[in-house]
Amino acid sequence: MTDLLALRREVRGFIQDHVRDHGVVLECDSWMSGFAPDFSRALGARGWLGMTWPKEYGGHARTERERWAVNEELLAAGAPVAAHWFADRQSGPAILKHGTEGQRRKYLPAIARGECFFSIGMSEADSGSDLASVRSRGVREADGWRVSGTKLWTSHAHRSHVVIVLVRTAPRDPKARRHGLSQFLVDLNGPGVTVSPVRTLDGRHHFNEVAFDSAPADLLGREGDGWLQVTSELAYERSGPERFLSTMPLLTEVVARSSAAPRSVDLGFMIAELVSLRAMSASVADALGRGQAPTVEAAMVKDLGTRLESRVIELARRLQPTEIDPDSGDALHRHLAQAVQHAPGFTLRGGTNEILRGIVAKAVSA
Amino acid sequence: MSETKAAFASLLSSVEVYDSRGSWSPLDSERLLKQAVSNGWHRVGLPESLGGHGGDLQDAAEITRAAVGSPSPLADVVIGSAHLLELADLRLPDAADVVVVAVPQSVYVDGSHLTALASRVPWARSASHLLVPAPAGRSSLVALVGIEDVAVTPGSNLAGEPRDTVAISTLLRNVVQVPLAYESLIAEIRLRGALTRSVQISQALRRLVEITARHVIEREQFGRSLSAFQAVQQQIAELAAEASAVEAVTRLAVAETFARSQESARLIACAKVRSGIGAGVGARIAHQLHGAVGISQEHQLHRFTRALWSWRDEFGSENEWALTIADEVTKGANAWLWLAGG
Repeated sequence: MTDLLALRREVRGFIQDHVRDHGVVLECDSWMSGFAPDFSRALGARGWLGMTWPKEYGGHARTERERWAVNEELLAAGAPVAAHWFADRQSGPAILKHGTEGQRRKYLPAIARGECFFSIGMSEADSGSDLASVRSRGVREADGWRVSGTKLWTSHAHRSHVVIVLVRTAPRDPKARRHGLSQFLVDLNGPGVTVSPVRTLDGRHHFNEVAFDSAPADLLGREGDGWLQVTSELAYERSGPERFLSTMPLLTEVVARSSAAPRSVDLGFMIAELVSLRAMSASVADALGRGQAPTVEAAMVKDLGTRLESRVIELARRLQPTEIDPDSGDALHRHLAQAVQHAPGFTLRGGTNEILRGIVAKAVSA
Repeated sequence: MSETKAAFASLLSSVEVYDSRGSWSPLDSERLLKQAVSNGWHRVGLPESLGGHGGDLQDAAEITRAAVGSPSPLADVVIGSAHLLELADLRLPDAADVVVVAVPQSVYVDGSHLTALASRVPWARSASHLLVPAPAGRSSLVALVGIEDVAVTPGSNLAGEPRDTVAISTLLRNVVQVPLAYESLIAEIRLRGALTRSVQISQALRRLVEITARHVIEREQFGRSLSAFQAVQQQIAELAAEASAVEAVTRLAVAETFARSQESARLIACAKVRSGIGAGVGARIAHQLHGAVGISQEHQLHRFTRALWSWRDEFGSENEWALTIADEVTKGANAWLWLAGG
């Protein structure tokens, strides 16, 4: 796979240039907290956003595997990809798959240029794992659809352009809870939208509460097909390298400092597990490229990978014991502080691991 | 390739080697082995120029998987022995049946006389010949020794599979020189053995998932199937994930080894680590979900779990290979470049 290695080296050079010349900061969990519009735009100019989309929509018609390789490099380095992450990973593909021609032309080229950022409006205060229980609603009025309700845990809604919300458009039928849901595109800067910050325990702001009060909304796909549409996004969302590389910058830092350390069986285990996860993730990427939706394998990658991300922290603490100084500029301290405080989220976001294991169990033994 | 596996699997399933109480019958496995040999299965994975029936490493891996569940030397023959024969460019005589590699604990060559002691040799008692590596200055020798020149003391692993001690004192009749340092030759043998065990573990875990899934569906307690309980679902999902993770890295290791890539040694090491970890976790969960019946000899579960407990330690445990990987990674100093390519 020498072409992929050449591509990886290009991405590494790009990142180094931006660290050196544009003050880009590398950190763990950068796809969640590293919001850098200039960096996203530069990636777009390089052709590394919308990589697999058709060229007529601003994409580059490249393979899922190439996209996977580029994103592995960005995440392993800890590059700030948060601004475009959801748009590139799932919102764009959703619009490509379910959107009208007008929606595709309006959004896809802008996403691929790294200029249009998306948030995901699914969770609510009372609807986390039980997504079908959302209470936000969409109502069709004379001049178009309007959504009302409140979404929670909406990452970057305070600086994104569009939110895709999952809302109820038909009354809930207890015997068919997943029916009657629809997806809408809502302009975050439009009328009827109020964004309030929800700080995380490390004091930083990327989550939000987004209140909709008859906000104008653009139907995405078919009315009532919201659940089906969301489910098809999930194989993309769950299997990517962000599910096992969130703490890679910490691991790389620790290994670099540990050449004189006693031989570590745990490090060997960690590396072997990473090799195995990468193989699984790559195979899911290939399957996605063939138009399949390997939901069970994606769920496994997410479950195993996010648990590994936390174990990297414990390995780091064993190999390089220290009292973490959150104000230190030293890379080890920075990465540890970020990783430790973000760790509780690894196994909750993108499908709580216990729920995902339930999905796997049903596939294996129902 | 799946035709190969299907044909071989059909042969294996034609002979029951466990009695009704779940006790293994070595005699029946011997009978089955003779049949397999008479159909030429022992020569798969070896080029025709060396007396083989052709077929590649992928075919050998298919046979190895199909053999899991029925004790047999064929995995080590079609992967390990075939590889050593190829490395040595040594032709398998027509009269040879099962040929297994014996890695010596002590070996001495005096002129044309070979003295060697090896322990835990798989199925030496059923072999017609042993392949014995020996040092020769800065290179090595590989000798094909007829079993009539070998004193075999039976032994076994935890799964009851033959792991025999062999004492050899004989004139060298069929020996070739190999342009590899002895340590390198032994390392090659060990790598190929680690690959074999990884493939076997991967298949055993796949079988555990199937058997355990069927059990939790059929077994009822408290008025419902075990599969209805979340505690059970969580564990069987973990079992399935372990099996998939082991399978992914093992398939990659086989593919890269087949392609003779530079990555194959490190991938085999990773496969052996991951399969060793998976073996322990998988066996534990499978037993936990089966309850008491899984501990009985009569139930088929132990055929796989005892194999897992044995195979994870053979050709290097996950702990030993993990140290090898850790040494390499820390020497290279950049963990990501080691993983993704420099």
